[in-house]
Amino acid sequence: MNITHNIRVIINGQTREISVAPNETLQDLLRYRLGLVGTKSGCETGDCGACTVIVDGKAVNSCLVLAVESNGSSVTTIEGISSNGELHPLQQAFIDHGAVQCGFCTPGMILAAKSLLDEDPNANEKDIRLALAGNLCRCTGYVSILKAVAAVGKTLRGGK
Amino acid sequence: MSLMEKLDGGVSLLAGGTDLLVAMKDGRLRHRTLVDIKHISNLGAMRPEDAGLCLGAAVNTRTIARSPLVKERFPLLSQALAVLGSMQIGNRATIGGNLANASPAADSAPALLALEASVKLVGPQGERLVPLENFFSGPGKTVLERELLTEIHVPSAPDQGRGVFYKLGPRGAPEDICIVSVAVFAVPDASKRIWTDVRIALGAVAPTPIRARNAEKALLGQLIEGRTVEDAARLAAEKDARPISDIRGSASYRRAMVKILVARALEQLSER
Repeated sequence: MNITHNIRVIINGQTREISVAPNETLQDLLRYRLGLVGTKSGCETGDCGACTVIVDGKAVNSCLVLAVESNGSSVTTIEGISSNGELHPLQQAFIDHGAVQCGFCTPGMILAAKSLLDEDPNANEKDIRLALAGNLCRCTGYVSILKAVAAVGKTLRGGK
Repeated sequence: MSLMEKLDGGVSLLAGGTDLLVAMKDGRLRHRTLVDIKHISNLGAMRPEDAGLCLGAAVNTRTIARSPLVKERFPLLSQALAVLGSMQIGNRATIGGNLANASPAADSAPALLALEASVKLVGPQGERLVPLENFFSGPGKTVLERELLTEIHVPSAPDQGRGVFYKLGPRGAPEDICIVSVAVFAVPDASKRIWTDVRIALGAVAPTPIRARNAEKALLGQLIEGRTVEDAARLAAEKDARPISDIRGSASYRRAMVKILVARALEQLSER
């Protein structure tokens, strides 16, 4: 069976027309076909959050989305959030707060945090903890990550 | 529907994919045709219905949990769906999928059972409305017969009624597959002294999510007090729950936790 589907998807602002296999996940499309390896492959079962990307404004596990399902969608990966060589505020905050150790969870953490803050700039610590509960980190102990996200939230609210 | 008749066996319906893709990856599902149903019109809509609620089967669980309408009218449902899975899972997982997948541990089931929801099933022969309590027939099994679950109807709930949901899992995080879950919806009389309507639903302690009918009977018309709460919690654990031992917990631990969580829920709902 060599059925393929032609999809049109906007990836990091760029429209792509791609032929995908019916059982190909969005994660595999991004990593192996488009070379966007900032999206990490972890548990492959939606538990670890390392493969988190943003589809139409919502954080999802790209390992549990078929590439063909993203037809007509807009996908943002970690490679797409800096602009003109400037780091995204969350990326800068992760550096400033020492929230990156081995770095494997970082892209997923940042995209989960971005989707939360885009949705609700007033997110409090409880909201942040709940939103990041699907992203596992085995190095940092999470505290520095929570601080980094909260700091960006504070900046977005004008320092209040 | 005609498509479902034509394809016959070997077809899986794909909605959010959060259960289906995991099953495909670990080989439990093979050589299947997938039909993506989440863009069928109406399946993605959520609307008030009289004083109740009609949920399209393909609405994702996080959208329902965060809906101001659901928070106001059915906080019990909102509370349960908020911890159904991580944010990423909740953004994909659909309410219909969580029910049709028929896990005994499905997080949406106890709250919907306690709210006495029904599901609309549509097939080539027509459509039928089935009380959720009669929808599950075993682990991973439902009464669906080449039908599509299209809507979940939640009837209006008495104004004085209040609900609570507890999910017990190893991490205490939304991502957990629960060891035991409990949803209770209780209505006191005007004086708040007597239970006039109590619905207790349990997850992960029987082949399907269940109503704890023995415990409910013991409360009906009784005084709201410690003794009745204790009796009901004991009945829920000993007569209603029929747990097995598995990787997540032993049968005896599950019974012990049913007793504690049912009592805790009833105590919380007894506070005036």
